[in-house]
Amino acid sequence: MQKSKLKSMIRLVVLATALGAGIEHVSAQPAIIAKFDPASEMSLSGIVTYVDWKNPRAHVFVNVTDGSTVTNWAVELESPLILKGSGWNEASVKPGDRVDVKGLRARNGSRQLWSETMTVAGKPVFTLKDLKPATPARSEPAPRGADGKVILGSAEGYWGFPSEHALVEDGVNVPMDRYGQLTELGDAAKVAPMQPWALALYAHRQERSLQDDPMFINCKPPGGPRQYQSDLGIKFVEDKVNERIFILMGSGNRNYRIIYMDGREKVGSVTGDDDNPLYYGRALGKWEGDTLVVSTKGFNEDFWLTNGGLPHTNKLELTERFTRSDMNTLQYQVTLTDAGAYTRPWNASWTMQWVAGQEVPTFFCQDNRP
Amino acid sequence: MKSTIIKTGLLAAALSLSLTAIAQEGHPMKGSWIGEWKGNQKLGDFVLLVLDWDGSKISGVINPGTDNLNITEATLNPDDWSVHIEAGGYEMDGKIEKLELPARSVVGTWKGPEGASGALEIVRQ
Repeated sequence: MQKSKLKSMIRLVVLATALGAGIEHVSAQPAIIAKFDPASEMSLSGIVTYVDWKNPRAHVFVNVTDGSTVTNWAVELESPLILKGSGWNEASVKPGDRVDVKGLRARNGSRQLWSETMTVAGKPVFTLKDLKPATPARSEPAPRGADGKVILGSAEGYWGFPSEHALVEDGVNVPMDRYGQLTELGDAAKVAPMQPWALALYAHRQERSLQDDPMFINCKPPGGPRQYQSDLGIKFVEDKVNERIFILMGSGNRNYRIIYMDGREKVGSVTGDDDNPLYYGRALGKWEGDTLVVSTKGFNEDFWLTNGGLPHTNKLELTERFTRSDMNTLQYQVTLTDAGAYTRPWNASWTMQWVAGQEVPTFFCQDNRP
Repeated sequence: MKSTIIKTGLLAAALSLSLTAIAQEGHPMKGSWIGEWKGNQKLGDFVLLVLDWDGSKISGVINPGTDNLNITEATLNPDDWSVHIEAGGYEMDGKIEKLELPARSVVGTWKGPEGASGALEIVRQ
């Protein structure tokens, strides 16, 4: 890579990290820097003409007058889900309001900007709250059913706010933002034991600020371990009669995953039913003490394995371990085996937090394309 | 004349298909590729490749069902995304363009028996 290009990349990543720092709000959207240029800050003032209150991101349209010329700008905000959680709604600004906006201009030069600060009559609007639940002072033991088994899910909550937002091999410390964008591109090789082509492809995706992510461009599901990397979370529904566990996703357009607990024969090998590979593969589960162990294969190659863009092939096999270590903590540990993209099996792990008293959020990517 | 019209039609259809290429986020060479090896008097300008990746090597066939040229050597250099393919006395050399797209392409040259050669452009479907 050219030195000047590398310097420029590092500068952008530092700015992006600054953008991603601060309040911990939910992330189910593409990286901001994929669309907006952190080096192009701008301000505008004008009259609101329309509010488009839809996922994945809300937009406020503003008419800006310059002499006799009026131009319409689209101001992009966080998702309505996040804004609503922070106390805002569709009527927080209304057509006819005069607004002042500061933000980042779109990379493609169109009249769009990402709003960091919007004020109406001098008062800030669409500010964000920290939506992560506070950690209880005293941890209660994990709940158990009549059969003595740990209950992974219940109607009164869901698992969200993962401690990690992208796959990194256990024991490796690589700084990155909540979208999986590396702070230093030179750290790419440390993330996982990639084959040369996979490393080069991962670096290419990183260099392009993750703008090619099929989860956002084409609203593809968050396949593989990525389903556990969204703050919007997941919910376990245990169907003991039919010996299945369903995982409902808050970030995947109402996707669900089935884990078969009935001891059926393993399928989904590359030479088996690879005529119909899936985003979530075919998963077989069993209990080992208080840990649900899930073995999955039969993945397609149509998705990014993780926030940040690690590649995989249809040889991918996952062994996942879910342990509810106390009332509020879910330990997730995954072993990835993929001889098509990696040089050896490797492990990653993180925790998810119990969000009590709430339904798993509903987030539809296709409501309003980015 | 009729043959040219058919070939042109096939190529146009192939290129239009590339607009709806199936997503493929795995190995960049895996999949079906359609395009032209221009000036190929023997096999025609239209070319189809079906490529696979087994974790250590690229395999596949050129023009399956008609010419059936089994690929004997195929490499991808991720340092510059250059591609080299050998099959049935033909060689292709090029570079992947628009790597990030499902409808990425390989642009370069081909050479074949009796000194034949020309431009190569294939697009992943």
